[in-house]
Amino acid sequence: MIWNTIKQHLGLANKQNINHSDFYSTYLNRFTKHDVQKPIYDQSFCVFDTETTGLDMAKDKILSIGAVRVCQQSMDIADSLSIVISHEGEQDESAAVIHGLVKTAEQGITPEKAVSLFYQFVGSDIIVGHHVAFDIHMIHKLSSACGGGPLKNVTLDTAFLAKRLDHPTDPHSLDRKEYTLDKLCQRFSVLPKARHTADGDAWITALVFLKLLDRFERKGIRRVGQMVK
Amino acid sequence: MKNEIIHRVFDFIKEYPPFTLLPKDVVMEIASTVIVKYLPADTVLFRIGDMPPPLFYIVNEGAIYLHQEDGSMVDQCDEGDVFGIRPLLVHAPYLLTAKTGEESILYAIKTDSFLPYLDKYPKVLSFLASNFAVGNGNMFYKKQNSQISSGLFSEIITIDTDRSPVFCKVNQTIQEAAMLMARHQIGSIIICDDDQEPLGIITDKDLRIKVVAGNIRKKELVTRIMSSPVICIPSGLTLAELQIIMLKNKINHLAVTVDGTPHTQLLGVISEHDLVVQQADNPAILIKEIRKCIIATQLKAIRDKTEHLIKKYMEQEVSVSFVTQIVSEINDEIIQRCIRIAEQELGAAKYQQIKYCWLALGSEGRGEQLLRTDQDNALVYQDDPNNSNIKEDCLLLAQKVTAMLHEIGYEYCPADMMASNPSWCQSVEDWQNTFTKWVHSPGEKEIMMCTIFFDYRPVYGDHSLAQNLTQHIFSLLDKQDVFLHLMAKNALENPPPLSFFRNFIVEKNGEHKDSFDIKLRAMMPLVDAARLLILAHRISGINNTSKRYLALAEAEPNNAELLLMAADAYEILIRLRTIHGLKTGDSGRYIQPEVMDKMQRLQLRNAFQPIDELQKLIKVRFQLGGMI
Repeated sequence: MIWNTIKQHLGLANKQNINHSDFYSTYLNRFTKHDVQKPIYDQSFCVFDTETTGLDMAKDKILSIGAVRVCQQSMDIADSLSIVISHEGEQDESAAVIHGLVKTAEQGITPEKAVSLFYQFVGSDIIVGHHVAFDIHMIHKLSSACGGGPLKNVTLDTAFLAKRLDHPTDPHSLDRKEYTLDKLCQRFSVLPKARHTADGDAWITALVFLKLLDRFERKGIRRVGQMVK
Repeated sequence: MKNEIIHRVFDFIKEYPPFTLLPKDVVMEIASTVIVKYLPADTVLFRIGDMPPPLFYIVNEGAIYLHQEDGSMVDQCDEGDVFGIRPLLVHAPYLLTAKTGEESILYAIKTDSFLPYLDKYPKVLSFLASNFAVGNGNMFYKKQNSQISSGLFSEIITIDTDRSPVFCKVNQTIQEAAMLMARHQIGSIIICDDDQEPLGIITDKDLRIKVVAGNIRKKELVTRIMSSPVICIPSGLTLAELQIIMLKNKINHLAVTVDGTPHTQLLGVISEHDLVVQQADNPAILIKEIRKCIIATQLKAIRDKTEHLIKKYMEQEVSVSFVTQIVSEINDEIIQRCIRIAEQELGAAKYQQIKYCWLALGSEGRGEQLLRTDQDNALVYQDDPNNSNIKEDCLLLAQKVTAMLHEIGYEYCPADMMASNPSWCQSVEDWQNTFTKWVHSPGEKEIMMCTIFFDYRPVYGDHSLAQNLTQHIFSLLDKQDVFLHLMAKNALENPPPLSFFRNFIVEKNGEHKDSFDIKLRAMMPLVDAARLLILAHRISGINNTSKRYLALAEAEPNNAELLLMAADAYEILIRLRTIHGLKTGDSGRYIQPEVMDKMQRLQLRNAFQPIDELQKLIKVRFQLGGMI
């Protein structure tokens, strides 16, 4: 309810954007559908995480977004995203974009700027996250508040992938508590440092994801299509 | 708000060399461009002959095996190890194949992000060069020398050259130059072209020898007597570097130019005198002080000062061969002073009649003693029909000298291998007989005696007596082939620890349990091999282990690469032992693995490389296949 009010309010505020805001149009124009039959090795993945004010999908807001790109079993640190969103009146527009990497000021950047940068960063990649549905929801909420629409990318959930690895036929039967990011870190010996910051968790998720992919590869699964079916 | 992604990389790499040698902001900058690479187990990262991408790697997690063409493993890199640094130093294909031993994560560092700091931080280059030496022969040895000439060790002490330089031009006469020198009270003058670029130098020695005592007239042009070219250096070099450059070129003056070449403007001149003035505990001054000492406590104070000097040199990473040379010089002076004082006390006139020679044995004999270790010495005298008490006289002197040395801080030899022991104080003939006995019936003890004694060096007295002994040993060896075989066998008794990365080989029992015996396990095998090979070549007069390897490299061009590597390895070991000894206040022989930092462990591992190869060579050369 409150959400709708906000939406209307923002809709009014952004009267000039009849269809979509610029960032979203750009995103849609550039978007190409994934070829899920392409080998996993050559796919480009965007592993991301958000830090929110809480776990209430309706009320809470995104504080920060972190994302890294995984392609050919590598991550380029220069091609990563670490942004802090400022929801206050004061906004710092001076945050500079260097090599696709956003150097964040203490105060952060506006929600509009943040969501625009994120959509630009994601592009046509396959999106990966831990319990990713929540983060996607939060991003969509932010996007539509800024005049944008939902992401069209295929998404992968590392929690689901880990379950699927253990129980290929009925992954959902497994205990959710055994598949938290912390548990997976333990299992794949990833150092769980800087947990609960968006960029820190994105980094950890990416490392877990890289190791998960190898486990799938060893089972003969080489395409994203086989992984999610 | 810090970027956690970059910080994850930064937090890791900052803990390991070469990144430990760079300032934090630089490491952060480098971290921000790293590529994280995941590799499953048994994956080839690169092969021999592949052209390297502009990257090098540090292992974040897992293990990388480096193989040679025949599949033999040269090295194993694990957490924190840097490898694949070829693209940083040369543009050439990989010489090794890199393969994961287990699931691994590597951080790939872009060479572009790193290269700018190579020149700025000399220790980084030095580290990489020593790392690069693994499996690559004598690279480090060459690098080290080029560092000196390009003046890369630019820290701590620098000489101010901001005085406006005095120089004259090519069309000026010798007389004009001499007048300029007199007016400015300088001992030398640089001759420059019209652009003030140095062409040559005239020193007051040139004036004395060539003009005053020679037949060149004062009206002639300066070019007639100038030495050319002038050795040029950039400004900002350390005292130690300047000393080395002068020593190497056997000159006393250096011209400082804008870029350190003769093709830029002259900024000033640095003379040896300038250096002496700058240096409080200069070795030359220490030696002068030694000559003035009259009691042991004074000498002890100077030896303590020497320790301070060694520490400073170690910090400045002055080449070990230079430091050992200087310290050996100081040790010799101290011994000589002790002998003179003892002679005075016992009656100088009596000892003037005795023809004898004081010999330094062991590490002091090899001129490798940086920190004070146990005394090892001997005395040889010429029998005199007019003096039946000669042995007693010599023993009396030796007792006084060894007691003084003990007071100065050179502990008595626990095995009593000292000139004060009657069996280590003998006439030339007795010594010859002793050697003959050792060489003809070499048991374990005899071989051990030889390893200690054969590194003797005359320190005081009549050196011809020592040469006499050397001749005798060589003639014995010519007749007794089997002796060198036994020495060879002895040289192989301490095989090097091959892999000690994951499990450092430490002493299992006794007082030094759990520490690494750097002398027994790393230095002795190199010392023994050098002595054996030098004896086999009948090369005399070279005792220093590194110098022996350099001489051997010349004698055996086929093995030059290995021998130069060994020379280098030995210097690294001396350095490690000295640094450790300075820290613990003892001889530095036993090292606790955990107190070594990553870089020291790497250096130590590198130093093991040539030992194994040398031992193989000895096994083949002395046909020990069946004996061991």
